[in-house]
Amino acid sequence: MTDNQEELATLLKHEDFPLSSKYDPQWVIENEMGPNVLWLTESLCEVMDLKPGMRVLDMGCGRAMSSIFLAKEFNLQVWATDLWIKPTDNWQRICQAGVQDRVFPIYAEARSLPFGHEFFDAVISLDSYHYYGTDVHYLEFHMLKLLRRGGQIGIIVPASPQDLPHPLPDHLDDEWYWVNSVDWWRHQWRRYPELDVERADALPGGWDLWVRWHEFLEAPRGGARPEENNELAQLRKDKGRYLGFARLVGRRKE
Amino acid sequence: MGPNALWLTEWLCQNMHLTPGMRVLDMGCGRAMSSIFLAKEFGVQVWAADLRVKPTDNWQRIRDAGVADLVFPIHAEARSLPYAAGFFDAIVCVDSYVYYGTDDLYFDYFVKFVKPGGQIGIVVPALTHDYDGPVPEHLTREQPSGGVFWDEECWYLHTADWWRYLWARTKLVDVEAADAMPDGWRLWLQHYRVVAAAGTKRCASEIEALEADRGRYLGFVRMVARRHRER
Repeated sequence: MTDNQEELATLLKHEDFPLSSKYDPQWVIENEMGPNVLWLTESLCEVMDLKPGMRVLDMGCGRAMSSIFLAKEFNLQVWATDLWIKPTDNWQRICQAGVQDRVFPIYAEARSLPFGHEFFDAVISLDSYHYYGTDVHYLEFHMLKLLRRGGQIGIIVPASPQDLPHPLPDHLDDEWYWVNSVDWWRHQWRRYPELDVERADALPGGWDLWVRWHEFLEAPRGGARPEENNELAQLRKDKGRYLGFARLVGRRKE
Repeated sequence: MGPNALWLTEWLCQNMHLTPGMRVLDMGCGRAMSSIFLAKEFGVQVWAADLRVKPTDNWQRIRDAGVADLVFPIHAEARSLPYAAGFFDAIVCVDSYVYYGTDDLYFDYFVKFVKPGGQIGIVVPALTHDYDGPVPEHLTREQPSGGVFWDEECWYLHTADWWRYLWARTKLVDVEAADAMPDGWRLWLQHYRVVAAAGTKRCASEIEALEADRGRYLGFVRMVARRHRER
């Protein structure tokens, strides 16, 4: 292992995430599409009832790192569904990871999912639900009916621990306009009568994870350069006042 | 949804190598009878894909049949399949390929979903012999019951040789079998008689045409091809 690889491995090791820490940092970098999805997946799994063999929809799976993690760590059967990343790309990754018997890549738009009602034992979504799920009707029209009654849906999305004022605070670029607060998400899900919201809180240490992620990405280049990584600079100024994650888990009523 | 899907599936599988645990696409599965049969009889994992019958309907049938762990219903258009290239160990199409696969270029798109070295098998209503000139009169005339057998859909009827050529010329596969079912017309006829007896449809003109034809032109063709291994 070179010094650089060692540094990367150290940065990716997180005492709170023993499962995620086992994965090859280079693999995580090659396939990343945002703050370490392995940490997010592990955080979500801690508060969900996932049992081996369950049929799970991983909606907006991106490069399927979360799907591979779910299959390896929890022995779930995962439908790795995405609109941006093609199933053929993900299939190669899935086969290389040796989980081709239980991770199935599927190409799908979140508003026309090709599955049957009550097909899934659980639905999860990591860092993607905000791209398609903020419409108040989304749960009813598109998502929840795919979940069996009594099954759980869990998501982690970027969210603000408090209401985000508009215009945005000076230290935040306009591109953050879409961030909703944790309270907003909780309210949004509680409105839907067919769902028991079991948890809707700020992800503990969410901001720290986000910062640490950027430090990890910057390491190969000899540390963060603010002019290149505007997001990290803003995160540091923010100190977790507005930037973090929401973690929601709900159960479809029987 | 057509001549007995179970008979046709069983006949097709005689020429296919299906082993437990294989991932099989059942394209155009209709009400998933063929998918359930494949799961029960061969222990394969079946992706039951259809455009017209909704996955929710099929999921209920699949659960009732006790094969929820092996058959996964999916809504799909044959020309925009949501799967990865090389995902399937085998593909079967029972009495559906004529609705999407007669295009010269379709096979080139379709074949890539089976892994190299995997089989694709179809069974289709077909011509047992080609005719010279116009469609034989006994198929196009008004039958004693007043109906006409030969409707617009019948243009999808082709011979085994026609089908073989459609796939073999692509050089993407080895066509391992392309043959007509012996006395296939009797199976077809029996299906119409069952439907007529069940009272869901009269089928009088179909029965009359098949009886007049006696397999001279009408029957079933199965074709099985193996995708070339990558060189």
